[in-house]
Amino acid sequence: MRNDLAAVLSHIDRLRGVDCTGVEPMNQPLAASARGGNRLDSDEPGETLDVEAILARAPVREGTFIAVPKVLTDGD
Amino acid sequence: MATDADLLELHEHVAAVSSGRRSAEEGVRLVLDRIERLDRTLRCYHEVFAAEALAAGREIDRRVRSGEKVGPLAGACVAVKDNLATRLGRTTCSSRMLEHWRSPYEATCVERLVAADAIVIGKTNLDEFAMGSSGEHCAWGVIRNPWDPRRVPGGSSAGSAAAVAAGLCHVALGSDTGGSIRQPAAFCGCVGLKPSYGRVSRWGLVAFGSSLDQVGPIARSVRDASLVLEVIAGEDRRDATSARMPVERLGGSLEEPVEGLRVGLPREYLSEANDPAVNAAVRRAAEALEAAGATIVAVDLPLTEVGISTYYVIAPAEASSNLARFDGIRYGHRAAPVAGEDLAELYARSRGEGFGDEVKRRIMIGTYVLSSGYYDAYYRRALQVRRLIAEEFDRAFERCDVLLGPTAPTPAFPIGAQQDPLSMYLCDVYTVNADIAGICGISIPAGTTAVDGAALPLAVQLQAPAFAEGLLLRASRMLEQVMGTVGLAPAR
Repeated sequence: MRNDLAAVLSHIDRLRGVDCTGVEPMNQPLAASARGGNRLDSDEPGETLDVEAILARAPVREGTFIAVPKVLTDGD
Repeated sequence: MATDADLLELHEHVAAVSSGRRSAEEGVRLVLDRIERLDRTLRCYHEVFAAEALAAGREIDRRVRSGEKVGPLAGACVAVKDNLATRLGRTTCSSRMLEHWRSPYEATCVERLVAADAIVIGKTNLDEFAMGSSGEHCAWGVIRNPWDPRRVPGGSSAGSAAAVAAGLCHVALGSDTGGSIRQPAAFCGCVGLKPSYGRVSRWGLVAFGSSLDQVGPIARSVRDASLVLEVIAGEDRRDATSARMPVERLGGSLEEPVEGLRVGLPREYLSEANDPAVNAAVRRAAEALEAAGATIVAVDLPLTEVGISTYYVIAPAEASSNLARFDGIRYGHRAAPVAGEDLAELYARSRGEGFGDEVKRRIMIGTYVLSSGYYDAYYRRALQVRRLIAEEFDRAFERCDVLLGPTAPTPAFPIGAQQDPLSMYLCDVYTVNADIAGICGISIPAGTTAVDGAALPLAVQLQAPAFAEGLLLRASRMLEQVMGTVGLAPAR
Protein backbone atom coordinates (compact mmCIF):
# COMPACT_ATOMS: atom_id res chain seq x y z
CA MET A 1 0.00 0.00 0.00
CA ARG A 2 2.96 2.31 0.69
CA ASN A 3 4.06 2.06 -2.96
CA ASP A 4 0.50 2.59 -4.22
CA LEU A 5 0.16 5.78 -2.20
CA ALA A 6 3.54 7.09 -3.37
CA ALA A 7 2.51 6.58 -7.01
CA VAL A 8 -0.84 8.35 -6.47
CA LEU A 9 0.77 11.29 -4.67
CA SER A 10 3.37 11.68 -7.40
CA HIS A 11 0.54 11.82 -9.98
CA ILE A 12 -1.32 14.38 -7.88
CA ASP A 13 1.84 16.52 -7.98
CA ARG A 14 0.93 17.43 -11.55
CA LEU A 15 -1.32 20.07 -10.02
CA ARG A 16 1.85 22.11 -9.44
CA GLY A 17 2.21 22.49 -13.20
CA VAL A 18 -0.99 24.54 -13.48
CA ASP A 19 -0.68 28.31 -13.09
CA CYS A 20 -3.18 29.24 -10.37
CA THR A 21 -2.03 32.80 -9.73
CA GLY A 22 -4.94 34.85 -8.45
CA VAL A 23 -7.47 32.00 -8.85
CA GLU A 24 -10.10 31.82 -6.11
CA PRO A 25 -10.58 28.24 -4.77
CA MET A 26 -13.92 26.67 -5.71
CA ASN A 27 -15.35 24.62 -2.85
CA GLN A 28 -18.42 23.36 -4.66
CA PRO A 29 -19.54 23.48 -8.26
CA LEU A 30 -22.53 25.75 -8.07
CA ALA A 31 -22.76 28.97 -6.17
CA ALA A 32 -25.89 29.11 -4.00
CA SER A 33 -27.21 31.88 -6.25
CA ALA A 34 -27.16 29.48 -9.21
CA ARG A 35 -29.30 27.00 -7.29
CA GLY A 36 -31.93 29.56 -6.34
CA GLY A 37 -30.30 30.96 -3.21
CA ASN A 38 -29.52 29.58 0.23
CA ARG A 39 -32.28 27.64 1.85
CA LEU A 40 -32.97 28.67 5.42
CA ASP A 41 -35.65 26.78 7.32
CA SER A 42 -37.83 28.55 9.81
CA ASP A 43 -36.66 27.90 13.38
CA GLU A 44 -39.44 25.51 14.29
CA PRO A 45 -39.20 21.89 15.41
CA GLY A 46 -39.98 19.49 12.58
CA GLU A 47 -40.12 15.76 12.09
CA THR A 48 -37.23 13.92 13.77
CA LEU A 49 -36.10 10.32 13.83
CA ASP A 50 -37.39 8.16 16.67
CA VAL A 51 -34.85 7.98 19.53
CA GLU A 52 -35.65 4.32 20.23
CA ALA A 53 -35.10 3.45 16.55
CA ILE A 54 -31.67 5.08 16.65
CA LEU A 55 -30.63 3.52 19.98
CA ALA A 56 -31.72 0.11 18.75
CA ARG A 57 -29.10 0.41 15.99
CA ALA A 58 -26.16 1.16 18.31
CA PRO A 59 -23.64 -1.71 18.56
CA VAL A 60 -23.68 -1.67 22.39
CA ARG A 61 -26.33 0.06 24.43
CA GLU A 62 -27.05 0.46 28.13
CA GLY A 63 -30.57 1.71 28.75
CA THR A 64 -30.91 5.03 26.97
CA PHE A 65 -27.15 5.32 26.46
CA ILE A 66 -24.67 4.09 23.86
CA ALA A 67 -21.89 2.27 25.74
CA VAL A 68 -18.20 2.98 25.01
CA PRO A 69 -14.94 1.94 26.70
CA LYS A 70 -13.79 4.05 29.60
CA VAL A 71 -12.65 7.41 28.25
CA LEU A 72 -11.13 8.97 31.36
CA THR A 73 -8.39 7.05 33.13
CA ASP A 74 -7.47 7.33 36.81
CA GLY A 75 -4.74 9.86 36.04
CA ASP A 76 -7.13 12.31 34.21
CA MET B 1 -46.25 -18.00 -19.20
CA ALA B 2 -44.08 -14.95 -19.77
CA THR B 3 -40.76 -15.38 -21.58
CA ASP B 4 -37.51 -13.39 -21.73
CA ALA B 5 -38.73 -11.60 -24.84
CA ASP B 6 -41.53 -10.09 -22.72
CA LEU B 7 -39.14 -7.96 -20.69
CA LEU B 8 -40.14 -4.63 -22.16
CA GLU B 9 -38.31 -1.36 -21.84
CA LEU B 10 -39.54 0.65 -18.88
CA HIS B 11 -41.71 3.09 -20.84
CA GLU B 12 -43.44 0.28 -22.75
CA HIS B 13 -43.98 -1.74 -19.57
CA VAL B 14 -45.44 1.23 -17.69
CA ALA B 15 -47.80 2.05 -20.57
CA ALA B 16 -48.93 -1.59 -20.74
CA VAL B 17 -49.45 -1.88 -16.97
CA SER B 18 -51.27 1.46 -16.68
CA SER B 19 -53.71 0.52 -19.43
CA GLY B 20 -54.33 -2.96 -18.02
CA ARG B 21 -52.77 -4.74 -20.99
CA ARG B 22 -50.12 -6.30 -18.76
CA SER B 23 -50.02 -7.32 -15.14
CA ALA B 24 -47.52 -5.57 -12.86
CA GLU B 25 -47.35 -8.72 -10.74
CA GLU B 26 -46.44 -10.82 -13.79
CA GLY B 27 -43.80 -8.20 -14.65
CA VAL B 28 -42.27 -8.64 -11.20
CA ARG B 29 -42.41 -12.44 -11.56
CA LEU B 30 -40.57 -12.27 -14.88
CA VAL B 31 -37.79 -10.13 -13.37
CA LEU B 32 -37.53 -12.37 -10.29
CA ASP B 33 -37.23 -15.42 -12.52
CA ARG B 34 -34.38 -13.84 -14.48
CA ILE B 35 -32.62 -12.87 -11.23
CA GLU B 36 -32.98 -16.48 -10.02
CA ARG B 37 -31.40 -17.81 -13.22
CA LEU B 38 -28.70 -15.22 -13.93
CA ASP B 39 -27.64 -13.49 -10.73
CA ARG B 40 -25.82 -16.47 -9.26
CA THR B 41 -23.05 -15.68 -11.77
CA LEU B 42 -23.41 -11.91 -12.09
CA ARG B 43 -23.92 -11.03 -8.39
CA CYS B 44 -25.70 -7.76 -9.12
CA TYR B 45 -27.93 -7.96 -6.05
CA HIS B 46 -27.08 -8.08 -2.38
CA GLU B 47 -30.74 -8.41 -1.44
CA VAL B 48 -33.93 -9.06 -3.45
CA PHE B 49 -37.36 -8.13 -2.07
CA ALA B 50 -39.40 -10.83 -3.82
CA ALA B 51 -42.46 -11.01 -1.55
CA GLU B 52 -42.76 -7.24 -1.11
CA ALA B 53 -42.32 -6.61 -4.85
CA LEU B 54 -44.98 -9.20 -5.79
CA ALA B 55 -47.38 -7.65 -3.27
CA ALA B 56 -46.71 -4.17 -4.67
CA GLY B 57 -47.36 -5.50 -8.18
CA ARG B 58 -50.66 -7.07 -7.09
CA GLU B 59 -51.75 -3.80 -5.50
CA ILE B 60 -51.00 -1.84 -8.69
CA ASP B 61 -52.97 -4.40 -10.72
CA ARG B 62 -55.91 -4.04 -8.34
CA ARG B 63 -55.86 -0.26 -8.65
CA VAL B 64 -55.72 -0.43 -12.45
CA ARG B 65 -58.66 -2.88 -12.49
CA SER B 66 -60.73 -0.64 -10.25
CA GLY B 67 -60.05 2.35 -12.48
CA GLU B 68 -57.84 4.24 -9.98
CA LYS B 69 -55.12 6.49 -11.33
CA VAL B 70 -51.61 5.02 -11.13
CA GLY B 71 -48.27 6.85 -11.12
CA PRO B 72 -45.93 7.59 -14.05
CA LEU B 73 -43.71 4.58 -13.25
CA ALA B 74 -46.49 2.08 -12.46
CA GLY B 75 -45.10 -1.44 -12.25
CA ALA B 76 -41.50 -0.56 -13.15
CA CYS B 77 -39.05 -2.79 -11.26
CA VAL B 78 -36.26 -0.57 -9.91
CA ALA B 79 -32.90 -1.78 -8.63
CA VAL B 80 -31.43 0.56 -6.01
CA LYS B 81 -27.70 0.97 -5.44
CA ASP B 82 -26.93 -0.16 -1.92
CA ASN B 83 -25.54 3.23 -0.85
CA LEU B 84 -29.08 4.66 -0.96
CA ALA B 85 -31.07 4.29 2.24
CA THR B 86 -34.18 2.14 1.96
CA ARG B 87 -36.64 1.15 4.65
CA LEU B 88 -36.78 -2.28 3.09
CA GLY B 89 -33.80 -4.52 3.77
CA ARG B 90 -30.30 -3.38 4.64
CA THR B 91 -28.19 -0.48 3.39
CA THR B 92 -24.63 -1.79 3.40
CA CYS B 93 -22.61 0.26 0.87
CA SER B 94 -21.11 -3.19 0.10
CA SER B 95 -19.00 -2.75 3.23
CA ARG B 96 -18.44 -4.91 6.30
CA MET B 97 -18.75 -1.63 8.20
CA LEU B 98 -22.50 -1.56 7.44
CA GLU B 99 -23.11 -5.29 6.95
CA HIS B 100 -26.16 -5.38 9.24
CA TRP B 101 -27.28 -1.74 8.96
CA ARG B 102 -30.99 -1.11 8.52
CA SER B 103 -31.81 2.49 7.77
CA PRO B 104 -34.53 4.12 9.89
CA TYR B 105 -35.47 6.34 6.91
CA GLU B 106 -35.65 6.22 3.13
CA ALA B 107 -33.75 8.26 0.54
CA THR B 108 -35.86 10.99 -1.10
CA CYS B 109 -35.21 9.63 -4.60
CA VAL B 110 -36.46 6.18 -3.55
CA GLU B 111 -39.51 7.71 -1.84
CA ARG B 112 -40.31 9.58 -5.05
CA LEU B 113 -39.97 6.44 -7.17
CA VAL B 114 -42.29 4.52 -4.87
CA ALA B 115 -44.76 7.42 -4.86
CA ALA B 116 -44.72 7.16 -8.68
CA ASP B 117 -45.71 3.46 -8.28
CA ALA B 118 -42.32 2.02 -9.16
CA ILE B 119 -41.46 -1.22 -7.35
CA VAL B 120 -38.13 -1.58 -5.51
CA ILE B 121 -36.96 -5.04 -6.54
CA GLY B 122 -33.67 -5.11 -4.60
CA LYS B 123 -30.40 -3.50 -3.56
CA THR B 124 -27.42 -3.70 -5.90
CA ASN B 125 -23.75 -4.28 -5.13
CA LEU B 126 -21.16 -1.56 -5.60
CA ASP B 127 -17.50 -0.86 -5.08
CA GLU B 128 -17.36 -0.32 -1.33
CA PHE B 129 -18.71 3.12 -0.39
CA ALA B 130 -18.81 3.90 -4.16
CA MET B 131 -15.00 3.94 -4.36
CA GLY B 132 -13.86 2.09 -7.46
CA SER B 133 -14.22 1.86 -11.22
CA SER B 134 -14.61 -1.89 -11.73
CA GLY B 135 -17.01 -3.60 -9.32
CA GLU B 136 -14.10 -5.58 -7.87
CA HIS B 137 -14.02 -3.72 -4.54
CA CYS B 138 -17.28 -5.08 -3.12
CA ALA B 139 -17.09 -6.79 0.28
CA TRP B 140 -19.55 -9.46 -0.95
CA GLY B 141 -17.44 -10.51 -3.96
CA VAL B 142 -16.70 -9.41 -7.52
CA ILE B 143 -19.63 -8.29 -9.71
CA ARG B 144 -19.52 -9.58 -13.31
CA ASN B 145 -20.29 -8.06 -16.70
CA PRO B 146 -23.31 -9.78 -18.32
CA TRP B 147 -21.78 -9.33 -21.80
CA ASP B 148 -18.74 -11.36 -20.73
CA PRO B 149 -18.60 -12.64 -17.13
CA ARG B 150 -14.78 -12.76 -17.34
CA ARG B 151 -14.85 -8.96 -17.45
CA VAL B 152 -15.75 -6.21 -15.01
CA PRO B 153 -19.05 -4.33 -15.26
CA GLY B 154 -17.32 -1.05 -14.33
CA GLY B 155 -18.00 0.87 -11.16
CA SER B 156 -18.89 1.93 -8.76
CA SER B 157 -22.59 1.41 -9.67
CA ALA B 158 -21.58 -2.05 -10.87
CA GLY B 159 -24.60 -4.09 -9.82
CA SER B 160 -27.03 -1.41 -11.02
CA ALA B 161 -25.55 -1.29 -14.54
CA ALA B 162 -25.13 -5.06 -14.81
CA ALA B 163 -28.72 -5.62 -13.60
CA VAL B 164 -30.13 -3.27 -16.25
CA ALA B 165 -28.01 -4.85 -19.00
CA ALA B 166 -28.99 -8.40 -18.00
CA GLY B 167 -32.69 -7.59 -17.71
CA LEU B 168 -32.79 -8.12 -13.94
CA CYS B 169 -34.85 -4.91 -13.51
CA HIS B 170 -36.44 -2.27 -15.74
CA VAL B 171 -34.23 0.54 -14.49
CA ALA B 172 -31.72 1.21 -11.72
CA LEU B 173 -30.52 4.05 -9.55
CA GLY B 174 -26.82 4.75 -9.32
CA SER B 175 -24.67 7.50 -7.86
CA ASP B 176 -21.87 9.36 -9.62
CA THR B 177 -18.97 11.05 -7.80
CA GLY B 178 -16.30 10.69 -10.50
CA GLY B 179 -18.07 8.64 -13.17
CA SER B 180 -19.78 5.89 -11.17
CA ILE B 181 -23.03 6.02 -13.19
CA ARG B 182 -21.63 6.71 -16.66
CA GLN B 183 -18.63 4.35 -16.75
CA PRO B 184 -20.46 1.14 -15.69
CA ALA B 185 -23.33 2.11 -18.02
CA ALA B 186 -20.73 2.33 -20.82
CA PHE B 187 -19.17 -1.05 -19.95
CA CYS B 188 -22.61 -2.72 -19.81
CA GLY B 189 -24.29 -1.11 -22.84
CA CYS B 190 -26.79 1.01 -20.88
CA VAL B 191 -27.76 4.65 -20.82
CA GLY B 192 -26.31 6.27 -17.67
CA LEU B 193 -27.24 9.82 -16.72
CA LYS B 194 -25.36 11.93 -14.19
CA PRO B 195 -27.56 14.94 -13.51
CA SER B 196 -26.15 18.37 -12.66
CA TYR B 197 -24.97 18.94 -9.09
CA GLY B 198 -28.09 19.91 -7.14
CA ARG B 199 -30.61 18.44 -9.60
CA VAL B 200 -31.49 15.34 -7.51
CA SER B 201 -31.75 15.28 -3.72
CA ARG B 202 -28.97 13.40 -1.93
CA TRP B 203 -31.03 12.90 1.24
CA GLY B 204 -30.46 9.24 2.08
CA LEU B 205 -27.41 8.84 -0.16
CA VAL B 206 -24.47 7.75 2.00
CA ALA B 207 -22.04 10.65 1.56
CA PHE B 208 -18.71 10.09 -0.25
CA GLY B 209 -17.65 13.40 -1.82
CA SER B 210 -20.28 15.92 -0.83
CA SER B 211 -19.34 18.57 -3.40
CA LEU B 212 -19.43 15.92 -6.16
CA ASP B 213 -22.06 13.22 -5.43
CA GLN B 214 -25.19 13.03 -7.60
CA VAL B 215 -27.89 10.36 -7.95
CA GLY B 216 -29.12 9.36 -11.40
CA PRO B 217 -30.72 6.62 -13.49
CA ILE B 218 -29.16 3.73 -15.42
CA ALA B 219 -31.61 2.61 -18.09
CA ARG B 220 -32.02 0.73 -21.35
CA SER B 221 -32.92 3.82 -23.36
CA VAL B 222 -32.73 7.61 -23.27
CA ARG B 223 -36.49 7.78 -22.91
CA ASP B 224 -36.45 5.53 -19.82
CA ALA B 225 -33.67 7.60 -18.23
CA SER B 226 -35.64 10.76 -18.93
CA LEU B 227 -38.84 9.37 -17.33
CA VAL B 228 -36.98 8.42 -14.16
CA LEU B 229 -35.11 11.72 -13.93
CA GLU B 230 -38.39 13.65 -14.05
CA VAL B 231 -39.64 11.67 -11.04
CA ILE B 232 -36.52 11.92 -8.85
CA ALA B 233 -35.36 15.47 -9.72
CA GLY B 234 -36.32 18.65 -7.93
CA GLU B 235 -36.02 20.54 -4.70
CA ASP B 236 -36.02 18.69 -1.39
CA ARG B 237 -36.22 20.54 1.93
CA ARG B 238 -34.07 17.81 3.50
CA ASP B 239 -31.12 18.46 1.15
CA ALA B 240 -29.83 22.03 1.38
CA THR B 241 -27.82 21.51 -1.81
CA SER B 242 -30.85 20.53 -3.89
CA ALA B 243 -31.60 23.26 -6.40
CA ARG B 244 -34.83 25.22 -6.52
CA MET B 245 -34.72 25.14 -10.31
CA PRO B 246 -37.92 23.87 -11.96
CA VAL B 247 -37.78 20.34 -13.41
CA GLU B 248 -38.18 20.30 -17.17
CA ARG B 249 -40.96 17.95 -18.37
CA LEU B 250 -39.88 16.74 -21.80
CA GLY B 251 -42.81 14.49 -22.75
CA GLY B 252 -43.13 14.22 -26.52
CA SER B 253 -40.51 16.93 -27.13
CA LEU B 254 -37.83 14.33 -26.32
CA GLU B 255 -38.41 13.03 -29.85
CA GLU B 256 -37.91 16.43 -31.45
CA PRO B 257 -34.38 16.94 -32.81
CA VAL B 258 -32.57 20.00 -31.42
CA GLU B 259 -32.55 22.46 -34.27
CA GLY B 260 -29.08 23.80 -35.12
CA LEU B 261 -27.42 21.62 -32.44
CA ARG B 262 -23.72 22.50 -32.08
CA VAL B 263 -21.67 19.52 -30.91
CA GLY B 264 -18.22 20.28 -29.50
CA LEU B 265 -15.56 17.64 -30.12
CA PRO B 266 -12.60 18.35 -27.81
CA ARG B 267 -9.26 17.44 -29.37
CA GLU B 268 -8.06 16.06 -26.02
CA TYR B 269 -10.87 13.47 -25.96
CA LEU B 270 -9.61 11.50 -28.97
CA SER B 271 -6.33 10.59 -27.28
CA GLU B 272 -4.09 7.98 -28.88
CA ALA B 273 -4.01 6.26 -25.49
CA ASN B 274 -7.68 5.30 -25.97
CA ASP B 275 -8.64 1.92 -27.39
CA PRO B 276 -8.97 2.47 -31.18
CA ALA B 277 -12.52 1.02 -31.07
CA VAL B 278 -13.47 3.77 -28.59
CA ASN B 279 -12.17 6.56 -30.81
CA ALA B 280 -13.89 4.98 -33.81
CA ALA B 281 -17.20 4.96 -31.86
CA VAL B 282 -16.81 8.67 -31.06
CA ARG B 283 -16.17 9.45 -34.74
CA ARG B 284 -19.20 7.39 -35.78
CA ALA B 285 -21.32 9.28 -33.25
CA ALA B 286 -20.07 12.62 -34.62
CA GLU B 287 -21.00 11.54 -38.14
CA ALA B 288 -24.39 10.31 -36.95
CA LEU B 289 -25.15 13.63 -35.27
CA GLU B 290 -23.98 15.51 -38.34
CA ALA B 291 -26.29 13.38 -40.49
CA ALA B 292 -29.12 14.30 -38.09
CA GLY B 293 -28.49 18.00 -38.75
CA ALA B 294 -25.96 18.94 -36.06
CA THR B 295 -22.78 20.94 -36.63
CA ILE B 296 -19.51 19.58 -35.26
CA VAL B 297 -17.28 22.22 -33.65
CA ALA B 298 -13.64 21.60 -32.70
CA VAL B 299 -12.96 22.79 -29.15
CA ASP B 300 -10.01 22.63 -26.73
CA LEU B 301 -10.15 21.37 -23.16
CA PRO B 302 -6.44 21.36 -22.22
CA LEU B 303 -7.20 20.73 -18.53
CA THR B 304 -8.85 17.37 -19.29
CA GLU B 305 -5.92 15.31 -18.03
CA VAL B 306 -5.19 17.28 -14.87
CA GLY B 307 -8.79 16.53 -13.83
CA ILE B 308 -7.61 13.18 -12.44
CA SER B 309 -5.10 14.85 -10.10
CA THR B 310 -7.73 17.39 -9.07
CA TYR B 311 -10.34 14.72 -8.43
CA TYR B 312 -8.03 12.44 -6.47
CA VAL B 313 -7.36 15.30 -4.06
CA ILE B 314 -10.90 16.65 -3.65
CA ALA B 315 -12.79 13.34 -3.51
CA PRO B 316 -10.51 11.58 -0.97
CA ALA B 317 -10.36 14.78 1.13
CA GLU B 318 -14.14 14.89 1.34
CA ALA B 319 -14.33 11.11 1.84
CA SER B 320 -11.88 11.18 4.74
CA SER B 321 -14.10 13.73 6.43
CA ASN B 322 -17.41 12.00 5.62
CA LEU B 323 -16.24 8.53 6.63
CA ALA B 324 -15.01 9.74 10.02
CA ARG B 325 -18.54 9.04 11.24
CA PHE B 326 -17.91 5.30 10.94
CA ASP B 327 -16.14 4.81 14.25
CA GLY B 328 -18.02 1.80 15.58
CA ILE B 329 -19.75 3.76 18.30
CA ARG B 330 -23.25 4.87 17.30
CA TYR B 331 -23.86 2.44 14.45
CA GLY B 332 -22.09 0.12 12.07
CA HIS B 333 -19.38 -2.41 12.86
CA ARG B 334 -17.76 -2.33 16.31
CA ALA B 335 -14.75 -4.56 16.96
CA ALA B 336 -15.12 -7.12 19.77
CA PRO B 337 -14.11 -5.68 23.17
CA VAL B 338 -10.54 -6.11 24.40
CA ALA B 339 -9.78 -5.61 28.10
CA GLY B 340 -7.99 -2.37 28.89
CA GLU B 341 -8.52 -0.92 25.40
CA ASP B 342 -9.22 2.82 25.17
CA LEU B 343 -11.64 4.61 22.85
CA ALA B 344 -9.08 5.52 20.18
CA GLU B 345 -7.94 1.90 19.96
CA LEU B 346 -11.55 0.79 19.55
CA TYR B 347 -12.05 3.30 16.70
CA ALA B 348 -8.90 2.06 14.98
CA ARG B 349 -9.77 -1.63 15.28
CA SER B 350 -13.39 -1.11 14.20
CA ARG B 351 -12.27 0.81 11.12
CA GLY B 352 -9.46 -1.61 10.41
CA GLU B 353 -11.93 -4.53 10.38
CA GLY B 354 -14.83 -2.68 8.76
CA PHE B 355 -13.20 -0.95 5.79
CA GLY B 356 -11.66 -2.62 2.72
CA ASP B 357 -8.31 -1.65 1.19
CA GLU B 358 -9.57 0.87 -1.38
CA VAL B 359 -11.55 2.78 1.24
CA LYS B 360 -8.54 2.84 3.58
CA ARG B 361 -6.35 4.06 0.73
CA ARG B 362 -8.68 6.97 -0.03
CA ILE B 363 -9.04 7.94 3.61
CA MET B 364 -5.25 8.04 3.90
CA ILE B 365 -4.87 10.15 0.73
CA GLY B 366 -7.60 12.45 2.02
CA THR B 367 -6.15 12.99 5.47
CA TYR B 368 -2.70 13.50 3.92
CA VAL B 369 -3.79 16.22 1.47
CA LEU B 370 -5.71 17.97 4.26
CA SER B 371 -2.86 17.82 6.76
CA SER B 372 -1.14 20.93 8.00
CA GLY B 373 1.78 21.78 5.73
CA TYR B 374 0.25 20.04 2.70
CA TYR B 375 -3.17 21.69 2.68
CA ASP B 376 -2.12 24.61 0.46
CA ALA B 377 0.03 22.52 -1.87
CA TYR B 378 -2.66 19.90 -2.50
CA TYR B 379 -6.18 20.70 -1.32
CA ARG B 380 -6.29 24.45 -1.86
CA ARG B 381 -4.52 24.09 -5.18
CA ALA B 382 -6.97 21.40 -6.34
CA LEU B 383 -9.84 23.76 -5.55
CA GLN B 384 -8.15 26.46 -7.64
CA VAL B 385 -7.71 24.06 -10.57
CA ARG B 386 -11.34 23.08 -10.09
CA ARG B 387 -12.37 26.64 -10.86
CA LEU B 388 -10.15 26.68 -13.95
CA ILE B 389 -11.75 23.43 -15.16
CA ALA B 390 -15.26 24.87 -14.65
CA GLU B 391 -14.27 28.04 -16.52
CA GLU B 392 -12.83 25.96 -19.34
CA PHE B 393 -16.21 24.22 -19.73
CA ASP B 394 -17.97 27.62 -19.64
CA ARG B 395 -15.81 28.86 -22.52
CA ALA B 396 -16.41 25.64 -24.50
CA PHE B 397 -20.17 25.97 -24.02
CA GLU B 398 -20.07 29.44 -25.57
CA ARG B 399 -19.11 27.70 -28.80
CA CYS B 400 -21.25 24.55 -28.58
CA ASP B 401 -24.39 23.19 -26.89
CA VAL B 402 -23.08 19.75 -25.93
CA LEU B 403 -19.66 18.09 -25.81
CA LEU B 404 -19.10 14.68 -27.41
CA GLY B 405 -16.38 12.24 -26.41
CA PRO B 406 -15.68 8.83 -24.92
CA THR B 407 -17.11 7.77 -21.56
CA ALA B 408 -14.06 5.61 -20.79
CA PRO B 409 -10.75 5.05 -22.62
CA THR B 410 -11.47 1.32 -23.15
CA PRO B 411 -14.36 -1.15 -23.22
CA ALA B 412 -14.81 -3.41 -20.17
CA PHE B 413 -11.47 -4.87 -19.08
CA PRO B 414 -10.86 -8.39 -17.68
CA ILE B 415 -11.34 -9.00 -13.97
CA GLY B 416 -7.99 -8.53 -12.22
CA ALA B 417 -6.40 -6.63 -15.14
CA GLN B 418 -5.92 -3.33 -13.29
CA GLN B 419 -3.65 -4.25 -10.43
CA ASP B 420 -2.37 -0.89 -9.23
CA PRO B 421 -4.74 1.81 -7.99
CA LEU B 422 -3.27 4.62 -10.11
CA SER B 423 -3.95 2.86 -13.41
CA MET B 424 -7.52 2.24 -12.20
CA TYR B 425 -7.89 5.95 -11.32
CA LEU B 426 -6.70 6.97 -14.80
CA CYS B 427 -9.74 5.16 -16.31
CA ASP B 428 -11.88 8.03 -14.95
CA VAL B 429 -10.20 10.69 -17.11
CA TYR B 430 -13.30 11.48 -19.23
CA THR B 431 -15.86 11.44 -16.43
CA VAL B 432 -14.38 13.22 -13.38
CA ASN B 433 -14.44 16.72 -14.82
CA ALA B 434 -18.25 16.82 -15.14
CA ASP B 435 -18.45 16.08 -11.40
CA ILE B 436 -15.72 18.60 -10.60
CA ALA B 437 -17.60 21.32 -12.52
CA GLY B 438 -21.12 20.17 -11.56
CA ILE B 439 -22.36 19.90 -15.16
CA CYS B 440 -24.51 17.02 -16.47
CA GLY B 441 -23.29 14.09 -18.55
CA ILE B 442 -24.70 10.95 -20.09
CA SER B 443 -23.23 7.74 -21.47
CA ILE B 444 -24.98 6.32 -24.53
CA PRO B 445 -24.36 2.91 -26.15
CA ALA B 446 -22.49 3.10 -29.47
CA GLY B 447 -22.54 -0.44 -30.84
CA THR B 448 -20.34 -3.34 -29.82
CA THR B 449 -16.82 -4.56 -30.54
CA ALA B 450 -15.68 -8.20 -30.67
CA VAL B 451 -13.03 -9.00 -28.04
CA ASP B 452 -11.94 -12.54 -27.06
CA GLY B 453 -15.02 -14.09 -28.60
CA ALA B 454 -17.49 -11.79 -26.84
CA ALA B 455 -19.36 -8.73 -28.10
CA LEU B 456 -18.51 -5.86 -25.74
CA PRO B 457 -20.54 -2.64 -25.65
CA LEU B 458 -18.95 0.62 -26.77
CA ALA B 459 -20.20 3.98 -25.58
CA VAL B 460 -19.91 7.70 -26.07
CA GLN B 461 -20.54 10.52 -23.62
CA LEU B 462 -22.39 13.78 -24.10
CA GLN B 463 -21.97 16.60 -21.59
CA ALA B 464 -24.04 19.78 -21.26
CA PRO B 465 -24.03 22.84 -18.98
CA ALA B 466 -25.53 22.64 -15.48
CA PHE B 467 -29.32 22.22 -15.54
CA ALA B 468 -29.41 21.68 -19.31
CA GLU B 469 -30.66 18.08 -18.85
CA GLY B 470 -33.51 18.73 -21.29
CA LEU B 471 -31.12 19.67 -24.07
CA LEU B 472 -28.76 16.84 -23.13
CA LEU B 473 -31.53 14.24 -23.28
CA ARG B 474 -32.92 15.52 -26.60
CA ALA B 475 -29.43 15.46 -28.14
CA SER B 476 -28.94 11.95 -26.69
CA ARG B 477 -32.21 10.81 -28.23
CA MET B 478 -31.05 12.16 -31.63
CA LEU B 479 -27.92 10.07 -31.31
CA GLU B 480 -29.80 7.00 -30.09
CA GLN B 481 -32.22 7.20 -33.02
CA VAL B 482 -29.35 7.00 -35.46
CA MET B 483 -27.04 4.58 -33.60
CA GLY B 484 -29.65 2.39 -31.91
CA THR B 485 -29.40 0.65 -28.55
CA VAL B 486 -27.42 -2.57 -28.01
CA GLY B 487 -30.32 -4.42 -26.38
CA LEU B 488 -30.05 -6.76 -23.41
CA ALA B 489 -26.84 -8.71 -22.83
CA PRO B 490 -27.06 -12.30 -24.06
CA ALA B 491 -28.53 -14.47 -21.27
CA ARG B 492 -26.16 -17.22 -20.15
